[in-house]
Amino acid sequence: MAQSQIITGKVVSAGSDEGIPGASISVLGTSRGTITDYNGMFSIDAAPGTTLVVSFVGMRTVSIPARDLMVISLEEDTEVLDEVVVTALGISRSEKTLGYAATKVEADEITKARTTNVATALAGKVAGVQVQSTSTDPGAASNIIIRGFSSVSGSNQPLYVVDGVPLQNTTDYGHGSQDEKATALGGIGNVASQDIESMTILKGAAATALYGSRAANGVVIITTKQGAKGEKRNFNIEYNGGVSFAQIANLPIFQNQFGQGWNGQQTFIENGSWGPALDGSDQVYGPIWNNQQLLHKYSALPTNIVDFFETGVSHNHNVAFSGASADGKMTYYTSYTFAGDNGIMPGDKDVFNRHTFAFRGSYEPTKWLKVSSSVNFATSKTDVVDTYQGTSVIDGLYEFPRDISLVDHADLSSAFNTPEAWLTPYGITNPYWAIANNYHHNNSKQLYGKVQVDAKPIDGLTLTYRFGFDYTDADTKIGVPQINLDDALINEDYGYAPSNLNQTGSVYARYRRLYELNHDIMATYANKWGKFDLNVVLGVNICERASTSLAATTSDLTFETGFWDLSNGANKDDISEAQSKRRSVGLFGDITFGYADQLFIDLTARNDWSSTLPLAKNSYFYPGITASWVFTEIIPKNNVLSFGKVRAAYGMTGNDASVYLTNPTFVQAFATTTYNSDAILFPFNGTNAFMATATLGSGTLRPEMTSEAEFGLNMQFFGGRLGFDATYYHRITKDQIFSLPVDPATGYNTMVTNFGKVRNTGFELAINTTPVKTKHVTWNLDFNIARNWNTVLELPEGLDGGKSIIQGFSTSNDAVYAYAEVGKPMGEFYTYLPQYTADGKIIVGADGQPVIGTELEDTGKNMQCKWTGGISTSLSFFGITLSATLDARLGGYMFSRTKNLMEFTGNGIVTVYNGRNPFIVPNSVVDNGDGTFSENTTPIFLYDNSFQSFFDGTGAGQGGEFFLIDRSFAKLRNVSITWDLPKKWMQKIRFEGMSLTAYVNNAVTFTAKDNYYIDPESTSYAGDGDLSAQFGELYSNPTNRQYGINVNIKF
Amino acid sequence: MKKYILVALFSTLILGLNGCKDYMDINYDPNSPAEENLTSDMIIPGAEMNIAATYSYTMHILGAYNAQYYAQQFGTPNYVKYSQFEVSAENGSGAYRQLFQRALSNLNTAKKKAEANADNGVLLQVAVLRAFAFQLLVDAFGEVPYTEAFDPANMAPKYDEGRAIYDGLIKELDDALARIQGGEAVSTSFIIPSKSVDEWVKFAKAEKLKLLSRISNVDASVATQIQAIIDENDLPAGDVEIAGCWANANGQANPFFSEERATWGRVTHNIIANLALVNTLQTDAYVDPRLAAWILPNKDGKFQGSISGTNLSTVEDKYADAKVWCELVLDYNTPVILISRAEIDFFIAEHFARKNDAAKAGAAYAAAIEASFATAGVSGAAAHIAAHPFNQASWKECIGVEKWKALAGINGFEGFTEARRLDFPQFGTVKGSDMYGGSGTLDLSLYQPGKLYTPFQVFNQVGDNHILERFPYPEISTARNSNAPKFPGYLEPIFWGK
Repeated sequence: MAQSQIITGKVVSAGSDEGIPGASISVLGTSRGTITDYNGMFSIDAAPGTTLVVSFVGMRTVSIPARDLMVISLEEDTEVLDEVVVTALGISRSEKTLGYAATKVEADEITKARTTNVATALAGKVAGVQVQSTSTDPGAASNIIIRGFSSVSGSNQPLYVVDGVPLQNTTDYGHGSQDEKATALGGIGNVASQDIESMTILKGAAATALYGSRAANGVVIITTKQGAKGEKRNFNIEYNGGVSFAQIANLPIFQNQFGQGWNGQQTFIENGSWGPALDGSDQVYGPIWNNQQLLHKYSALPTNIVDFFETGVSHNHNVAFSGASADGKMTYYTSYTFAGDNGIMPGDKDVFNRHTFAFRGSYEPTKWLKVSSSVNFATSKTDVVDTYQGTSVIDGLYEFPRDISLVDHADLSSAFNTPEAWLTPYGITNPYWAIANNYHHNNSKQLYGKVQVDAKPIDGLTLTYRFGFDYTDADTKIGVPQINLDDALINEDYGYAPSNLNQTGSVYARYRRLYELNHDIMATYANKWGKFDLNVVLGVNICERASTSLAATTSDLTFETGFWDLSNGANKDDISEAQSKRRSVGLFGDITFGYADQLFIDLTARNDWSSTLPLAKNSYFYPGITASWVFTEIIPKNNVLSFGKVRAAYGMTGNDASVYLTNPTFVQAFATTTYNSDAILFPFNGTNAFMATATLGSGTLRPEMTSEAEFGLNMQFFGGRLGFDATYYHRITKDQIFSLPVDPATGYNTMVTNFGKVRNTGFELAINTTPVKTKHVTWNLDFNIARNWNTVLELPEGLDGGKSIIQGFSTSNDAVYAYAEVGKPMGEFYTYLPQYTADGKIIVGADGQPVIGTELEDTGKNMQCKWTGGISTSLSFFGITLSATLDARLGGYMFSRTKNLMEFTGNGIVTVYNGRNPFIVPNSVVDNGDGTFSENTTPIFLYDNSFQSFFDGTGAGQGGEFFLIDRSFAKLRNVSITWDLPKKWMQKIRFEGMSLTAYVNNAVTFTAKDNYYIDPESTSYAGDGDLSAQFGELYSNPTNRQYGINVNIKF
Repeated sequence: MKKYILVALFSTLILGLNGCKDYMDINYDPNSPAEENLTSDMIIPGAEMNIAATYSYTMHILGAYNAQYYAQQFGTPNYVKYSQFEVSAENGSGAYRQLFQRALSNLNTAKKKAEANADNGVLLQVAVLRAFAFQLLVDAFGEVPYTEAFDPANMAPKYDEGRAIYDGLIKELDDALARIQGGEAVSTSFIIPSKSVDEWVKFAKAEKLKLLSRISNVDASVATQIQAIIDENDLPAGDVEIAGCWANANGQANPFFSEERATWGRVTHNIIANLALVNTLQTDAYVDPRLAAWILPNKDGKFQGSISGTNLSTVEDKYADAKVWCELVLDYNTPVILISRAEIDFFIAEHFARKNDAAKAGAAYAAAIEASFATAGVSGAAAHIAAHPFNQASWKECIGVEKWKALAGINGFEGFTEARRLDFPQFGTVKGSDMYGGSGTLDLSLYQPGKLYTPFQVFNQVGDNHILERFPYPEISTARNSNAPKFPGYLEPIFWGK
């Protein structure tokens, strides 16, 4: 071997001496490599004469013997799309050989979004991918849905795979309320965006067959950054960090004409604004406490709720140190990332803090052996401000009268600002007090990574063993303060004493451990004979997933608040534990034949054995085939059509069940009443008892099967200046494993069964354009659009009307349900509706109020959206890059309890209907009882409560449909400007490079015109990406907008 | 040599496959006991408590508002609809699910185990609890699945006629009683903690009397069976109730108390006494002593009833105060009464009244009132009986009104049911809207004692001068069961009320 030495050189674009920054140079046959600096300069450790491979996106790759002071000129490549993507099991493939859709998102696009949760960064970037951030509260979980919903009840989330290792999703949904506010405790939520090299989204069944069951909803493959040599030395040091400020972005629109009261009367303790018109007079309000009462001007305070929120601050810092040993045999990458986010609630009760340590290394002791490892440790702490009703912050805010200043109630040392003499005793309280005294804290630690050995015993054959692990422990503690009022100082309570709010308080604690272990053993063989290529992968995967949790609740607190320990309760209410464990073994193979770099055929097959299926029938097999043809290989090179590929794929994916659905199970007995799920708890008076669980397991479960056909066309014109990638897919999921709600007269509330057939058909179109590309200015403009048609094809017989409930919300007054129904998209909304005569007049009763039917009826509205799409653009000139991403979703409805609350309290703009003057329900008739109808002459009045009844009881004459809102939106997710500081300046201060970014996230949200209420992405049914997460919201916290700056420094 | 290698390979393969099978055989929930290890002692207490919670809270409240025992507290919203006689298909879902899925389904498991062991004492317990729960369902909804219930293979069980279910329950009770020799072992129970099968026999006979008496309203032929039960003279001496086991802690208290008062749950304080109850039990000359046992006096130490159909949120100032109104006497250890001795005696009185045996009817009527006073823990029954003597000519009114009074302190659903069946108390001529103008003034003196009245605002589908005859079939059934019948309407009586 020749003596190695440092070789320097420059990479330029052909026909000019303009340097190409960021081109990569590697020494053939080694893992040594570097990239060019801002001026196109590089230096690398290589013996003269050894071959250097120089590549840059959009340029033709060249191989050239090394010599010092060399100038390498790259030509623009017309075959631009020969990009390498990482596919299943961490195998790198040339993009053009793929017969299915795989979309790669590069590091800069991910970090550009500056979101704490990496999943959120994908919003609007990939055709057919819906990203739903459950809220913008710090630490909130995100849901990703690829190509629509297939699973009625199970998770529709993709599988996240980091460097070949699957991650578990660990989420906290709170406890004891209907609100399933989702907080990420592990999984994707713990991956630092700055550590990511790229993300690839595999969408189709054919693409995902190799990952087995869990990939049925697609795969998000994350490739992390690895160590490589720096420009002039063996290592790189990089700092990336920034700070952002959050402002409230979406609140319901409040009315500003009427103030505190009820029935048009001033009621001093009312929780809402059904009072008289605001007139600016001086008025007292609230109870008389210790012979004092509060006084205010009875006039509108339009910003009284907005003023409550403060500016949120978040910051993140990432330091990475990476490099390679002098001989290139060893690489390392190590980083530390901190992300801290204090949200818009006052004080520090909505806070997320995450520390991430990553270490990745590889060692290649000899040509045929490589050992690599990745170890990541993340620890996060989240303080959550809970939502929904009762003494929550949000309920206190949304029921607050329009005429009273809230910020003046921040001082909790005054009795008027605590439950003792709060202005209303009707079940809600001062949001400041709620923030200070409610507690919901999560604490999680996650350790994940891999150890991998690759051996190459003979040429072309690689044997790989990979051990992947993910261990998470997650602690949750929720504290509800005691309220113990004796009303001793209340002189006048106006009929409802504050002590009615009394509660004993409780502490709930849950400790969870989750782990996942994966063993992958694979053999990969690749060879080339003339024009023929062969690539074979055979492997086995053994996976075990387990979780353990212990939870306890104590009530009747000794210390009213702040001491959130189980010892604080006089009563021990509940102690429960839960364990689950599942195993699977998968045997898989993948053979790719290539011909002349233009025709590729890929065959895959997998057989899984899963512990969650009935033992005798726990094996299932699913094959796939894909083909692609780069047809531009056979036409002459030209300046118009640069690249063209057609592809077709057909694949199946099997899916197993959740744990423990094959046998009957029993739980400790309990009984419930309407509002109290703990009415009777066993052990009771020293006696224990058990009862069957509400769900009947099935010993005859079959795996569910998804089959998908996909066709695609990818064409690039004018050297990549214009291109598109179009995909059509047709997916059928049958035999879904579903807990079917059944008539409890069967003895069960739900039965596990294989369930029906669901079809998703749709297309995806991604268009990339570069309208301007000159020496100094580049403008990219990309569009993506997707339409999914979801249809339920079959459901089991015996279901009422061929439909089954997915999710619902009911109170004694109203109810809205979402159904799966044959012939319709999943999630058809049903509710109780007003009744009409044959000629379309609304039927009212003797009281003039619309008569709401007693049978559930189809509203014709559905949860699912029709169109999704996004636009992203970037404009670069002289080192400055302006970029923006817009994400839009059209169609679909959601249930909004916030809307319900807005009309109940009279705070919402909708309640000023007709100026709150008496009115007769328009176009209404009274049923004479003999088949005839006569005109309705009974007015609705504010004074006798019928005005409120009209809204609250009849949904303003629309029944339950009143609570459905159009969930369409367009969001300007991100606008940013980045400035790469000139290299010359940097060198003077010994920096390799530096860039500055300023950005706005969640900049503007356009909603449907009748949505005065809520950010349509909000959900209170976050259940791990279930279809039910689309159902709607129960007083979700408002979302925010972030303004930030970011700096990236390479030392 | 080759052979050995083959054998070795083959053995390894077999071992490997077996190992694989064991490796996969882990799908048993470690948090669930195995069904074969469960005994009826571990099942019956849970089933009992589910029946108790449904009867003493969910059904009780629904009934008590519709029977005009309760009214809605000033300014609070929760049960205004109930007080307007509006009950939706949603309102019954919780009770229906709790009775079928948590009580009856588990009783079936206990039954299967008891049948396998010829455990006749347990079979009697199951029969009594099943009869109680099914009767409750029929009395609420009219028809429910019975013969096709509890068959997981049938997701659409047909609804049976109420009478057919009653007949089936009576037969179940007869069969279970016929197997009792005396001294059989029974399971742990909160209703009969003594574990005495004799007490279960008495409970069974009381339940049978309750079923037969309901039928007697439409079918005189059951009179002989009722007479037989009376002749056996083996009915409970006092109230069949769950008492003495309640504690002032979450999950351990009277379920109604937990909902309405307990500070570990949602404190509601929604319920106040209705004008019909208060002003029927108190006149200028006489205050029924039971009133003080059931109702708390208001801030002025008086009993003041409110009216149905409103929460009086626009009422004039002197009434616009929760403390003007009377809340209920309710504590964590208030007993849950399943069948009271007063009910038994009223059924006996009704039986003899139907036979025109005024003397025996009058005696049972007096015994019923005495039992009611005893349950309330007050004296003065004799004076009350003297003031409200039995009259054979108007026996239905006498029994109907006095039973309505007595059940106010026992169970609201039973009071509502008997008011529907006996058609007493009847509606007077004064309506809620006559007493309350809606704009403020309230004139409660217009109320006619002993009468019901149309609520201030009444549910459109019920209308004036009616109480509900039934609740709609529960949404949880109709939305899931293709064989659920169409709701016949709020004014269609249950079979025993036709």
